[in-house]
Amino acid sequence: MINKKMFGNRRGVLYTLSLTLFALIIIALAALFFDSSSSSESRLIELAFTQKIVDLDDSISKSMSKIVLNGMNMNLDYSNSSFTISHFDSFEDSGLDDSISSFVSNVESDFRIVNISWDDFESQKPIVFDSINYIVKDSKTIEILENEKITGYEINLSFSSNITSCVDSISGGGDLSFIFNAVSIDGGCSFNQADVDDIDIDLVVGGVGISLDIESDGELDFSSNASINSTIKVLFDENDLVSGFSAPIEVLFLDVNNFSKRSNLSLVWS
Amino acid sequence: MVLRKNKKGFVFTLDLILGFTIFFVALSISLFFVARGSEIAIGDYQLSLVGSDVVNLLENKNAFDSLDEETISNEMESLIPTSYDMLVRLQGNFSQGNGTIEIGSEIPSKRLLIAGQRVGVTSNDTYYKITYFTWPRLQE
Repeated sequence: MINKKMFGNRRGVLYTLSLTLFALIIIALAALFFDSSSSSESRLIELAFTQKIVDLDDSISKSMSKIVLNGMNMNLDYSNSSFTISHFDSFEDSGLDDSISSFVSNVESDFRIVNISWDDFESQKPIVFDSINYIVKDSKTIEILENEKITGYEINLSFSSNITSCVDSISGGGDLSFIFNAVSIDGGCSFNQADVDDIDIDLVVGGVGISLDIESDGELDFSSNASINSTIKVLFDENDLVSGFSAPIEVLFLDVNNFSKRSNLSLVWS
Repeated sequence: MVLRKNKKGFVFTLDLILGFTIFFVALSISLFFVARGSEIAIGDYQLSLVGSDVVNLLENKNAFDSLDEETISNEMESLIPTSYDMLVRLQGNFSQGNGTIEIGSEIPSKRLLIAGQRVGVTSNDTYYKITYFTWPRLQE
């Protein structure tokens, strides 16, 4: 009788234990599932945040590029041995600084994590291509700073008024190649020369002066008081690692969670 | 003897009730965890990419330049994948729609949706902020 009772108790304990074990297994599995979903959720939040930054960075770059290219009446192109910058009419519109300033204040007020610094771009307008600085000093003047990478220039100018004078002073014995072509309704002026050291060209178009000065170290100064369509192609040694055009406009993302990202503006065009 | 048997039955019933209670509590907790775990999947990130891609393409097509609701809507319809739905909201200092234009479907109340933001300028340098919402379309 006692043995039977003990056996019955044991069976009861066994049932209770197995039921508890079963419940624990179910809870453990559910906890694992929950943990995995929590880490999934964390990854999703991280990815969504990254996507938010990428979206903003990309759209700021595109918008700034649009404003800069429109405001400087400019088209860009490049290959692995040259880059080309074309301007239509003037080199810079008078409203460019206002457009950039308005865009920057709008972005900074809409997105507190974004800070855009463009002081280095405001005074002069440098466009940098693979360490070669192309500077639009004002609406009439372009300068390319000396750079040992520069191997030559191809310059095409088109005027709506007549070219009445074209005076050149080209000295040889250097390393630069030089192709120059200026056209107007009536008359033109062309040069094509290799191994050039120093170049000075002065044009008179519709009564106003245009001057081009290129030094042996690659430095270029170009000023025009006339309305002009210009294409300046800068040649350099073939390089497969060219990174494209950029401007010294710094976009900084600073989030409360100590996330930060700083980048110079890459000029994007279509 | 009958009283002892009745007592045994009472304890057995209590034990049964307690056992079932513990089991169903455990099952309910498990189901809650499992359901909570199924709510969010890493694949939902795809929603964010779809929204970003559509808005990016619209920008590349200069669809926002006109700030015209119909033009943007037509372009958008051709770009949204059939299994997704979207709402694009443009805000800025422009006269159209008193500075707020909304294009796309109405935001569903009880669905997972992912939002993103971009900025842009029109061809005459008018600034606008884009907020986009993407969610999976209900299959009919």
